[in-house]
Amino acid sequence: MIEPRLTKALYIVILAALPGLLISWAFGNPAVAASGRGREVSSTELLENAGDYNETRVVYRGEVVGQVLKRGDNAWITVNDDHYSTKHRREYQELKGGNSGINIYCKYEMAEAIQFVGSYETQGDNVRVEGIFYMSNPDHGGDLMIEAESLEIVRDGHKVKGESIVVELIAAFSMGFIALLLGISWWKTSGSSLF
Amino acid sequence: MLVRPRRSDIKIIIRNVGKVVIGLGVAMAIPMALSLCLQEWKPALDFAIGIFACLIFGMTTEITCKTGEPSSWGSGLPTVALSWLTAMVFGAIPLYLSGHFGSFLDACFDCMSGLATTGLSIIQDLDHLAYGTNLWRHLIMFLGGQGIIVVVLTFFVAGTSGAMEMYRGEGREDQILPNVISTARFIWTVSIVYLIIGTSILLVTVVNAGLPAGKGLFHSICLFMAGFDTGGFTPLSQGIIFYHSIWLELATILTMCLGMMNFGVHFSVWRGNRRELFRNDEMKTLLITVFGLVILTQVGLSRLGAYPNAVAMFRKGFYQVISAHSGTGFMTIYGNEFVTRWGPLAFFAVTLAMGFGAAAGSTAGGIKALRINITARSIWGDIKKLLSPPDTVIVQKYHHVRDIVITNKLVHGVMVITTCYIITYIGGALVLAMYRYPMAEALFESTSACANVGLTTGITSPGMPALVKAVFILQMWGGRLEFMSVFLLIGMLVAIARGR
Repeated sequence: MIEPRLTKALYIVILAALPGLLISWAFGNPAVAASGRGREVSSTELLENAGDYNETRVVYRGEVVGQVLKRGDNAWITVNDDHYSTKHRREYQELKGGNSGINIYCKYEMAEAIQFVGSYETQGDNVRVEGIFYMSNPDHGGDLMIEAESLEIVRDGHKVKGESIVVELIAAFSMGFIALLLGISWWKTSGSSLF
Repeated sequence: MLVRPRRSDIKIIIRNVGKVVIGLGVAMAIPMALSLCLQEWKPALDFAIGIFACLIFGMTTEITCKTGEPSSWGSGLPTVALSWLTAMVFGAIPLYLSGHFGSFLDACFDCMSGLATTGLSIIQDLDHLAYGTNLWRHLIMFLGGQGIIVVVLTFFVAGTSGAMEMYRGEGREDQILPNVISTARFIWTVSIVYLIIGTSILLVTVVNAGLPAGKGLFHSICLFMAGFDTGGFTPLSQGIIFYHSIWLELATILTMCLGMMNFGVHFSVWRGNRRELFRNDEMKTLLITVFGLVILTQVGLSRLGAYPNAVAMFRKGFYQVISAHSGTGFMTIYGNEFVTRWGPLAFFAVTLAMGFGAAAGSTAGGIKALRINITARSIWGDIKKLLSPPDTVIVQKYHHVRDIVITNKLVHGVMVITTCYIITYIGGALVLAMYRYPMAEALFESTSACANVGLTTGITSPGMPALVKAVFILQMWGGRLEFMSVFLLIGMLVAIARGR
């Protein structure tokens, strides 16, 4: 039978350790956190701390771009979480750096729900992926990737409305007219061939 | 003493530059046609503006710079250097108008990177770029790789006066056929045939990777132009990683290997002389340096345990060494992995591969295998001389299509160019170090720019300082033209400024 004083001491130790455990769960090594639920991460965080997140469960959100690459029962998708993942450049006319994303390997049935992939004409579907992050997956030639366990569409993509082209149209016609005048002048005065 | 060029020489130079710009404008019709087909109206108008700008400039030079006098010696090389700078400015117009660049300097950076077949890029939001503009990025790589002067020689120059100088000015060593125009046309014939075959092979691999046929055709054309011309641009921001296909990696390795070969060797093989592939000393040098650097990379990666198995380690390591050595810059890893995972030895091996470059007379940049071979032979010759009796005459030769005697003049020329490359590699790194970039990464990035490779650790980005962008543009320009044309242009400008 355990001494009451010992039991009391045990309670005190557990109570004292609890805040510490909570703090380490929230801010500590992601590997500890990822053994349970996935922690939400960005592509920059994954690329810069790939070793820390290796083979841990992560949650990642972003826009599907390029193409869904079907491979038998599975598929590869590229998911960008950069500035443009929620704002298409043609709609907002904003530039904020290059693209940044991670490649996701998933069951094709998960990817089948994707209707729009990001391109010049479209804003791609935004997806939430939960899966295991690999710094270097031995089954896929050492690629850095997330192997998805679940994938859900959190925001539908759409066709992008075309921007105004009036200024370009005026500029092109004006310059075309000048080029034509120069061409006629050159043709009349020169007599010699460019070739 | 600097000789001030005659007024007629300046006119000839400007007129020839105008012809190059007209040629560039004509080339813009290809991406414009694609944009029109795909109903990308704004990019189509961007190209129309670009075409008209080129025509206005070209016509103006045609009208104002007429001269009946023949060109004097020495005007060919400055023409080349000036043509490349002017082509950069005009080629950047549709890129800038696309709205994917923070400034015109950024658009010029990508245009020079394309023309010089470097592959470093500071485009923003590439993944939402129009097809037409994306094709233009790759097409300028193809034009620059073959040499825009070669384009002009092929289609715009009737006579051969000054043509040889212009041809050599683009860093080409070999005149394959007796006539330089025929040589230029042969280069284009070879390139078009390879384009058709290479694109077909790549199309099979990208469709196999999961792309639909139409999009696959676009990707395969772009990848071929970037690979064969050792450029390194890719249609999407993820680069070669996007495809996750070993077959595509193998096909691009083949493309890069074709691109890193000397056109003289291509010509010999085309003429049925396949033995040249094995007899050519430049090819042997390439084989030795590639093999040595692959070993060095593998040792470096295995010591760190960077990859989970030998297959993955070899796949990544081998690809990056070939990509670096050929001057292509295709990446199957993320840029920061060079720094965070590859460790100093493998990182150094890739830097060395970039610095060495591929074959002379290929589309690659860097010091070039032929120069490394001649340098090594001349050092060995000096050692043999020291160990031999005083009167001994040592004659050294190397085989490059034919046997060539290594003379002091040849070695001097090789040393001058090699020194220029090394100074520029270090100079660029020092500029980066001024902005507090780590020295090893700065040297990597500077070598990548000057040797026209395009691998990056992540330093090259839209946010880097304007001075660094300008220095990289100069490095890419000088490195691609192997410096002499640039020096002559500077000399000519100084002479004009002095007024004598």
